[in-house]
Formats: sequence, structure tokens, C-alpha cells
Amino acid sequence: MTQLKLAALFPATFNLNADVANLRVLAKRLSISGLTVSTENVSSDFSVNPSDLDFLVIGSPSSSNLLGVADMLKPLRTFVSAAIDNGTTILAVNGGLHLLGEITGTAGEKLPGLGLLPIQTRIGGKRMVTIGAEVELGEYSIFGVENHDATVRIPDNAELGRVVHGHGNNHSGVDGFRSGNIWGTHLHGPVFALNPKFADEVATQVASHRGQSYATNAEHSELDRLSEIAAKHLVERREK
Amino acid sequence: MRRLRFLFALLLGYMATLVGSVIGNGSVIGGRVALAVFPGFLAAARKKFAVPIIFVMGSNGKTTTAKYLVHIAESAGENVINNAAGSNLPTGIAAVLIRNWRPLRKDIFSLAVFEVDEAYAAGIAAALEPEFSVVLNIQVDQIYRLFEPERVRDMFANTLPFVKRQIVVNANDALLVETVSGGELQARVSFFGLKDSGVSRLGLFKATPSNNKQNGSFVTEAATGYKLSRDGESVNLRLPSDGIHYALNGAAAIEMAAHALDSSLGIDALAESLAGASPAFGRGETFVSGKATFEIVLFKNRPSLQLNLDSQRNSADTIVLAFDEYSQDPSWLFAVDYSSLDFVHAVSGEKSDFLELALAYSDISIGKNDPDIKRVVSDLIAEYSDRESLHRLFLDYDQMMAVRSLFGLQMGVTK
Repeated sequence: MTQLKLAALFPATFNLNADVANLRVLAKRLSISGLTVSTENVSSDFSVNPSDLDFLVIGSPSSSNLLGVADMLKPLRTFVSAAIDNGTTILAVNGGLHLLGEITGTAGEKLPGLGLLPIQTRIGGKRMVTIGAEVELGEYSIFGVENHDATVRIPDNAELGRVVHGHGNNHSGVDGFRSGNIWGTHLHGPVFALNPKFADEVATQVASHRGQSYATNAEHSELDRLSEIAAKHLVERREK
Repeated sequence: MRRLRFLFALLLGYMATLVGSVIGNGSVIGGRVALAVFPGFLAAARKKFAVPIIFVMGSNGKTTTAKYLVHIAESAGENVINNAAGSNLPTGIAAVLIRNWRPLRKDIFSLAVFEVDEAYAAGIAAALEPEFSVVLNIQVDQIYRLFEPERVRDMFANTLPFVKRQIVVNANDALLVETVSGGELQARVSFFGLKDSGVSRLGLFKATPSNNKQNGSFVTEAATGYKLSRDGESVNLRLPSDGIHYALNGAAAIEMAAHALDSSLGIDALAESLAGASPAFGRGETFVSGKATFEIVLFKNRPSLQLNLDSQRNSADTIVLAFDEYSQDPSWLFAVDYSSLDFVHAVSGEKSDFLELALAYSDISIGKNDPDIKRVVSDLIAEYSDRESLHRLFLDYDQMMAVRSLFGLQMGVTK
């Protein structure tokens, strides 16, 4: 049977806010849909073949872990670039999203960035923490927590969604980045677990990459019931 | 003028403490009032007593290490003042000073042990100028409040220059080792840590093996428990609570005690003393109801929950996980590896739904989801009191306090 291959980039260090959990969430949702799934970790030896991946999560590093990729930018760029060319679905969160473009620090100094996408990030500004952040993606909203100090500029209409509550990119009232198979957001941690509609839209894309179809069932519905309660809990605790 | 303001703040703080103790809110109210009246209260107070002060800092293990240290010091004949209730902000420390002002002034105390919150540590250190300091670890902790671990490192880097005599830091924590190597410190530095390999499981943000050049107290794991070596001597460690993190807390306490107490105390005496300490409240405490034993395991953040889950040596009849408002951002619950659990009898607390969701995506079944931890534990008592059984309750701070109150215990009192 065709196996869907899912991976996390540097899960030990690009996981400041539990972004890598999205891998487990997506794998479970695909699996209970009847699809066969494998998961792997991408470490600095880049032994995983990026052209064989259906999904890659790039979580957020801390600032020192972001600086730590400076000496491996070239192989990292080659790896992520090959995944993008392959049509691998990518979820890039917070610092992981910034890394795909170009990053500057508070004094305008250039920080490690892959320069693969038109995302310009300046970090080191005022810290923005939002419990119950909300981003509207067309027909539905996603909820979660954001905690970052970045201002992110992207081309017009390249956002993931419109900010309803919180700061998102801290620019133009939008959050994240979206282009085809690339999904970027500042909602950190288990964004798929809290937002099953979002997870299912991504899961459908991941499955179709191997010509598979993804469908939800009663087991998904039970998980979704919990997700709804948890997301509502965060919204109720928004600072007034 | 400053003297008058200090005396006025002290008087108001003392009166607030009296009122607070009557209405059941006595732990920090006096400190809050004194600091509101006179923000320089701590520094002014410090000028009026000569007791040496030990700070205990770090992401995890402050209360346990401070408790071990106080016990070792008291066993050695010291009369110790400390913030046992875990009130580790400026208000909490000011409140402790106010409550004990007379004995402090009369030199009744011979040592102060204060656990200190990292976000406030530099300010408190500037005011109190401690003689000694232990820094336990830097872990990913309360990101919504402390932001990144690198920021916590900077907090310690800004604190340690105020320490006068001896700093003890974790040799396995790369950020802390870097901090004491590069900083201009007036105090000498020694270390504690794990001698063996396998430091990656300690939950540190950046772990590093210890090296032979580091002097201090080091733990090795043996089949029968833990050994501690210091200055070429070695001794078996008997701990109030089981787990590698408690062994390291013990090593930190012994290393600090070796510097701060009577220098004639050998490692044997210090380890013997440690063995007699009781667990800090909620850290491996057990309570008995009929034939049922309830073990409370406090967790604060992802590293502490992971370490406590991984440190379980015996299986329990029931497992309960409870979590509430203590951590505003529950994201980290999804980064924990729950595979050491087969089944969770109940999830509880205000954020029980997050626990249920995280466990569901980890393929761990649960018995029930009841946000009321007292009801969960009461039900267990009713069901199991007539049976020899062990019930392990993993609780965050407020849930732990709720369960302790159910067992009729006040904060700081252990059974």
C-alpha cells in the first residue's frame, strides 16, 4: 500500500512551543482515515530524502538555535528547496516560517535565513503574546497562541489569513504565508490539534500528493469535539 | 528620610501581615504593602541584618533544593530563615523579612535560604547582595512569561555578579557553564551535575556532559541508587524522593552546604543529613487513606512533567493528570512523551480538555475527564480505601494545593 511520508525538521531544537506535535496530529488523522503513514526526523546529516516527503513541519527555534543553523545554511537550503520542488506540503511555524525567507535583527544585521520565499522578517521588536489568537482563513478561523517579536512582510495576497485577534505578522493585519503547498503561521504549538478543519485541509493536500484521498469518520469527530472545547477555552481566556 | 520611610514601610507591612494572618491571606500581603510604600525596602532591610544569604534559582527544583539545604543546615546547628512557602518574588521575600524582623535584628538566625524567581532575581540580588547562590538549570519554562531560555540565561547573567562568595551551578547546563565562564564575578564558582553520560534526558535547554576540570559534587547512577562524589570521596545518596532530578537537587544542596556551612562537615555527614529531609510539599509526598496510598507528583512545565513521567519505577493502580490555569499557554502539553503511561484513570483541572486532547493524539486512553480534582480524588478514596493500592497523582501547583487541602494539610506541612 502507498505510504505517506511525514517528517519534522530538527525536532529537538525547532520545537520551542511544541510545533512538532503537529506531525503526530496529522499522522493520526491520516491514519484513522485508513491511510498508511510513516514519520521521520530530519537531523543535520540530512539523510532523509526531501524528494520522497509528503509533509514537512518546520517548527520554531529559540534565537540561539536559529543562529545555530548559520553553519549549515547551504545543505539546509538544498534540503528545503528540494522539498518545495517536490510539492511536499510544508507547515512552517513562527521562527520556522521566518527562516524560509530573509531575517534581520534589531540593528539591521543579517541573520540566518534560507531566502527561498519572499518573506522579510525583522526580529527583536516588542514581544507579542496572545492567548486565544484568531486568524480567519476564508470559510473558517483558526485559534491558538502566538508569542514572538517579529515583523513580517510578505507580498500582497500571500498571507495565510486575516488576523481577527492578535498580531500575526505584525504588519498589514494578516498572519503567516500561503503559497500552494506552503502553509506558514505564527499560531504555535498544536495548531492542527486545536483546529481540525485546518488539519483536514492540509491532510487532503498531503494525501493527494500520492494520489490518495482523505476522508474523516466518527473517530475524527470525537477528536474534533475535544478540539472545539480546547480552542473555546483559549478564546474565553483572552485578555479583555 | 530613607530611614523613616523604611520604618514606616516595616510598620505597615507588619500590620498588614497581622491582618492578613487573621483573614487567611498572610503569606505575602505584608511584603506587598511594604514595597508599595517603599520600593527600596529590601535594600534598606539588608543593611540592618548580617545573616549570610543563599539564593536558590533555576527553572525547576528550587523549592526542593531549598528544602534540602535548609534541612542540612539545620542538622548542622544553623538557625535558618527561609521562604518555605515558595513565595519567591520580591513581595514574598519582603514578607518573610517582615515576619521575622525582630529575630533577624537580634541575630537569632545564622543563615537565610531564599528561593528566587528568575525574572526578579537581578533586582532582588542587587538589593540583598547574597553571599551564596545555587543555579539549578535553564529549561523551556513559562514561555508566555519568560519568553526564550536565552532570556533566562541573561537574567542569571545579570544576577550572579551581585553574589559575594560562592556560586554553585549545574555542570550539565551549557548556558549556565557559559555564563559563569564569561561573566565578571566576585564569587568563586563550583559545580554539581551528573557524572555519567545521558545528560540529554535531564530536560535542560542545552545539555552538556560534565568534565574533569570542574570541581564540585557529581552524581553517578548505580544499580541500587545514586552515588555522590566530591573531592575524591564517594558516598551513597539516600533521597527523600526518587528520581534523577531529585539526586541532582541533592547534589546541588550538598555542594552549596559544603561551602556555606562549617567546613569540617564531610560529604558523609552532609549526605546523611540529606537522607533525613522530607520531600518538599507535593514532590513525591504520600498520603494514606485506609489501605490506599496517594502519591503526589508536582509538575510545573514540560521538562518537569517529562522527568517525573520517566522516573516512575513502580506501577500505580491509577494515574491521574491534572492541570489548570497556572500555565496560560498549554501548548507544551503536546510536546510531552506520554508513552510511559498505559492508561490514565482521570484527567482533571481547568485545562483537563487539553490533557485529554494531548493524550488522545498520543494514543493513551483515559477513564474520565472531570475538571474537579477534589471530586476525582474523593471518588478514588471511596473506591479504594479498603484495598492495598497506589494512586499516582501528577498535578500542577494549584491542583496540588487543592489535593493537599483535601487531605487536610496546610502549605509547607508534610506527612
